[in-house]
Amino acid sequence: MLTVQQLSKRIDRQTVLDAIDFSVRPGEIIALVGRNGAGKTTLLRTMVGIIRPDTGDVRYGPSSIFEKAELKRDVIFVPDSADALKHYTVNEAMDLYASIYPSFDRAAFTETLTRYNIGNKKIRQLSKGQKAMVTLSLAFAVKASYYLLDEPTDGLDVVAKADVLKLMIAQVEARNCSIIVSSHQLHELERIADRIIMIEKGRVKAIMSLEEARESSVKLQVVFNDQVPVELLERKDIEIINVTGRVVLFMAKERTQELDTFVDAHDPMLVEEIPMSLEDIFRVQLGGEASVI
Amino acid sequence: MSFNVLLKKDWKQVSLLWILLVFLGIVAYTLPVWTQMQSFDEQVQDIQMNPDKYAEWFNGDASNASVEELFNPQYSYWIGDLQTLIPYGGVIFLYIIFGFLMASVLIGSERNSQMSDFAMSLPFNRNQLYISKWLIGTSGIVVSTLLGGPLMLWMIHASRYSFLIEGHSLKVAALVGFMLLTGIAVFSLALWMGSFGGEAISQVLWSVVALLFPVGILLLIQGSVISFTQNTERVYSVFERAIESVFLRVISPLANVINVDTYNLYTDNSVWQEFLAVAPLSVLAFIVLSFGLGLLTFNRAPQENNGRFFMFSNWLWFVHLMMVLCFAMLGGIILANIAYSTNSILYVIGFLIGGFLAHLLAKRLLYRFNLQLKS
Repeated sequence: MLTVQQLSKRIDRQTVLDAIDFSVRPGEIIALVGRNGAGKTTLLRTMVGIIRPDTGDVRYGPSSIFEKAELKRDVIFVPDSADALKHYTVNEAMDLYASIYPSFDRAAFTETLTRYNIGNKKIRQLSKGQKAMVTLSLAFAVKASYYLLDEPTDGLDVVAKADVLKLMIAQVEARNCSIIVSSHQLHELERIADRIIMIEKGRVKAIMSLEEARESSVKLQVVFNDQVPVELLERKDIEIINVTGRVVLFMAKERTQELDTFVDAHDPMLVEEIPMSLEDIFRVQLGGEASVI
Repeated sequence: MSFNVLLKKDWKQVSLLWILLVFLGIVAYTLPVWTQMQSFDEQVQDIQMNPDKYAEWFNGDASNASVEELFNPQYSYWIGDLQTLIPYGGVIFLYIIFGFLMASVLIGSERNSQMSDFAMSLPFNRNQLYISKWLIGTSGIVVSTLLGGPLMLWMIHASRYSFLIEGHSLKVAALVGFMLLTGIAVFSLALWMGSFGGEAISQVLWSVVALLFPVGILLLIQGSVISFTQNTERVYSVFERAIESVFLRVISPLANVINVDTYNLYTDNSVWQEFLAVAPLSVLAFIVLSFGLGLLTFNRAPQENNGRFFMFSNWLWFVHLMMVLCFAMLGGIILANIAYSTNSILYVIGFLIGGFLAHLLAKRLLYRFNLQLKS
């Protein structure tokens, strides 16, 4: 099991990671969500030993990843661009990976390339989607147990995104590996993630399954007999999404008895609970700015 | 999983420079020898064709003198000697340029791109990453010397000027060995500076500073002291001793290079003995020192500061202080020497102006520019 223990890091006198603590179970996909600058990329870079934490540790089984570099044969980091390999051809990159990772499966890699019709070009000459497929396929061909993916679908078109997601799901199903994926594409994460880690200003705000997340907050559409009460619009604990005549759509960070009583007290004609998407949860928990296509 | 993988990865980055270094190394060793011999040929031909013109320098017998006799130091006419054939400065200059370039491609350019993150995420520790880079760079210098040095020796031995090297082959070989070690030392220094500069250009800048600093700071202090004293001879002698000291030669490859007396190396046995005793060992000690410190700082370099002008943010105050001090002293020396005799009041004014300008520069470079460069 991969365990992150009390990981803290300060950069330029600012706390970027603050006592981050969680573990990754085999075969699960964890979505790492948070606003820009929340510390997601720093967390992933620290988890694989690129950045040294001020305190805390990342342990793979009984050993620290900072002390035993060879553990990184089983924990693969895929950054958000393929810049590192841009001077390599696809085959050179395959040879490089095969010589670094004894478990690298050339057949699996070439099969993926054939499936997506990617030739042996210099990686910098590939399209953005192809680059993403190559870097992910290289990583998955290693047959590692843990993958840390930093915004793997960022900037990809709809088809390429779907391909990347398919590839991720196929790996988890076939090998029971674990994936931690940071992304702003919340509607995609929603389809694949088992758990969500919400990061806010370097701290873990919540770790929960999507069901738990959905239950913790509430999205209501209320139709009042008269106009929408001003007291409701002025409440600080809710986020008004839309007001149309006597109809109001809002989200509350927490589902409370007090809110239910408050709504009932204003004699609503209809109260309907709307299913919350991950984007809704993100907005209400972390304050919005979700980038969703 | 083999260490060779890292060598291959680094080779991919630096192969063009490496091949260029080997080629230019051969050129730097051999071309000056060839052109110098051409110059000898022209002079010898001119003497033989116009013996009367040179009679007074050759005691009247220039027409009958053999080529070897024309080079005899007993004559007052000097055509050249072994020292003029050996391209000592040129080769070392090449090693400095390519040492800096290769080191900045191996570390600085990696920091500019995501290659550094990629390398750090591989199942290798930072010591292995650093050693691989050091081996690749060093091998280029070794190969260029192993090809260029013997070719140069062969060219001299095979020429009609071979008498110049007779009995001195070992000394020339030792000098070539010293040039090789100096090349490795400069490269090791530049690679070490890769832990301070957060990208390629700043790494080259820090390498230049580190190369010049030990000798430079001594000269600045010497110039400053002279501005306040009348007893300049004593000051010169103290600083001359300091520059020639073994300590400075150990901590500065540049001091080591300028302290080798190539003019008298082949003729004065005491110079040869002194060279053998100090120069190679000092440069070896520097290689060990810079390699060890390079490993240490590469391990500790904060990867999150990649792209910055100076990686160790906690030491910015010290760098700032040193910049102000050095430029203040330089300003003082320049202004003090404007007057016919050195003037201590002008020194103080120059010191303040130089220090203030350096402070402004340091603020921009170390703080504002440092943050702008952050990746």
